[in-house]
Amino acid sequence: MTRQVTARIAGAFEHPQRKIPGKTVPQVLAEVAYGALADAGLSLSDVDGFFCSEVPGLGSIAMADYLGLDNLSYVDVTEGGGASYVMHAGHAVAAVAAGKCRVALLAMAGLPLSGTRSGGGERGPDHPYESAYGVTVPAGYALAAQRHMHEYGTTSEQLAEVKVAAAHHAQFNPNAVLRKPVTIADVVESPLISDPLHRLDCCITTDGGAALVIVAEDVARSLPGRTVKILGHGEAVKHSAAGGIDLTYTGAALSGPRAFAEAGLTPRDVDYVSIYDSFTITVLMSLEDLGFCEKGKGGTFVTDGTLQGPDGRLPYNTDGGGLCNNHPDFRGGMVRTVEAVRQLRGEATPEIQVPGARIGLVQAHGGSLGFRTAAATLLLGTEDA
Amino acid sequence: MTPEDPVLDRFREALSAGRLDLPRCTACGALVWYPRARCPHCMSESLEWEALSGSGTVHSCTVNRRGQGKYAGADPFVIAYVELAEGPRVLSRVDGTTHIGMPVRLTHGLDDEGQVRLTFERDPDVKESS
Repeated sequence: MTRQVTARIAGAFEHPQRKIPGKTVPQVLAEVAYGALADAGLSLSDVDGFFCSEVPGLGSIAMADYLGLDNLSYVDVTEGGGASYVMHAGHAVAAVAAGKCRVALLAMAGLPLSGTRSGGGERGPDHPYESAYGVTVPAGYALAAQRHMHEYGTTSEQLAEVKVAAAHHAQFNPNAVLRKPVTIADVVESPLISDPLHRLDCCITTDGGAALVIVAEDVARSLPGRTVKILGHGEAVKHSAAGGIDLTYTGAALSGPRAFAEAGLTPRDVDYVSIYDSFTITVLMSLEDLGFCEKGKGGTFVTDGTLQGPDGRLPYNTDGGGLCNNHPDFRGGMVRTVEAVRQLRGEATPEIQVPGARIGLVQAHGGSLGFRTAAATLLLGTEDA
Repeated sequence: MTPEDPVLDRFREALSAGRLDLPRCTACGALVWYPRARCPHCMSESLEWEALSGSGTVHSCTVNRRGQGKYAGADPFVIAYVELAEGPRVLSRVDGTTHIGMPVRLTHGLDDEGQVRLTFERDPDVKESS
C-alpha cells in the first residue's frame, strides 16, 4: 500500500566536522541549511517556512536575515531541548497541511567545544528548588536509571549493550568521534560518572549542526526522488508532576502511541530506529515506552545484538549516534533524524545499511529524564511505503 | 536584581527554623512540591503552609562522582529523590551510604549560602521495610 501523506523530507544534511574552530554558529548554521537545500535540489527563494530554536539573535529573526530567507510566511521557534527538531518536523507537517508554507527549512548548530554555548533561556521556576544540589546531566539520568534497575532488575551489562551496538556502527562512519568497537566489559569497567552510569554510558559532546528540508507533496513530486515520507508525529511534555515524578518511563510512552496512531502503524512495522541516546538508559527506556518490548524488559530486549545493524532485529543509530558519532550543541534530535533519512533512502554506510528498510522511527528527548522533558516521535517511510 | 518571591521566602524561612513546610491546597487537599503560589492540580489560589515530619524513604539515588562548577571539588556526593512520609518525591542530598528504600530524616534544609538543599541522613529509629 502506498500511503498518501501531507509532506516529505526532501533534504537532509549533517555537518561533517565534530570540532569546528574558526567558525561562528551562524556560519555553521548556513553551511548545514544550504547543504540541506542543495540536497533537496531547492534554493533559498523556495523556502517559506523556517523552524529553529536557540539560534543566535531574537527568535528566528536574525538568522532569517543572515541566511537570506526572504519569502517566509511561517516561522516556529518551538523549544524542546534536543527534542526540538523532531517537534519542528511535526509542526512543519501541520503548517503544510494548513497551507501556511510549502518548503520548510529546519536548522540547528552549536559550538560547545569551541566555547559557544546556546543560551538555555531564563531560569525556570524550579531553579531555586533544584540548583544547589550539584546535579549534573549524568546525575539526572542516573536517578532514572537507578530506579529502573530497582523496579525491573535492569543491569549495567544490559545498558552496555546499547553502547556496544553504537560503537559497532561508528567504526564504519569516517566522521564519527569514537570509531573503536567496545565490549560490554569495556563499558562496565569504565569509570563511574554518576552511579550506575559509567563514562561509556554517556554521550559525547561535539560542535556541529544539521538541517532538514520538509516539503509539501506537490513540491516533492517535482523533485528528483529520494524523498522520505512523514507518516506520523507525536509529542509530549512529561514533568515532575508536582512531587509525583515517575522515573521509570519517558515521554516516549506518550509521544510514541500518538505517532503510531497517526501513521496507522505498530512497532512491528518498524525496520529501523533512531533514538536520541543521551545515555544508554535513554535508549533502553525509550524502546520499552515505544512498545518494542514489554515495559521493564528493555534489558533483555537489547541483549544478543538486537540493536546492531544491519541484521539485528531492530538496528538503531547506525551512524554511531550521540554515544559515538555526533551530539552537536548537546541536542541530538536533528542528527538522529538525518540518519533515519539516510537509512530510508538506502544511503547509509553500506556495512550497516538495513536491507529493505521501509519504515523508520525517530525518538527524541529534551531536558532530563530525572526531572522534566519534552519528547517527540516521528514515523518515516520510503517513497513506496 | 532577583524579583521578589514570597513563596520561596516562606519556604526558606521554615527551613532556617528547622522545619520542612509545604503548601497544601485547601480546595483539593493536594500537597504541592515544589512550592508555588497556585495549585497545579485544581488552580486554586488558596494554599496553606503545613509542617511536615521531615521523614521519608529513598526513592532513587546516585553517587555523583563528577561534580561540576562549584561542586567540582565536593564529589563524590549522593543525590536522591526522597519520598516524604506525606507523599511528595523531593530532590535531596543524603549523607553517607544510601540505597533505595532506606528510611531517612531531614538534617538540613539550606546550604551555607542559604539556598534550598534538602539534606537527609539514615533514620536509625525506623526499620526498613522489605
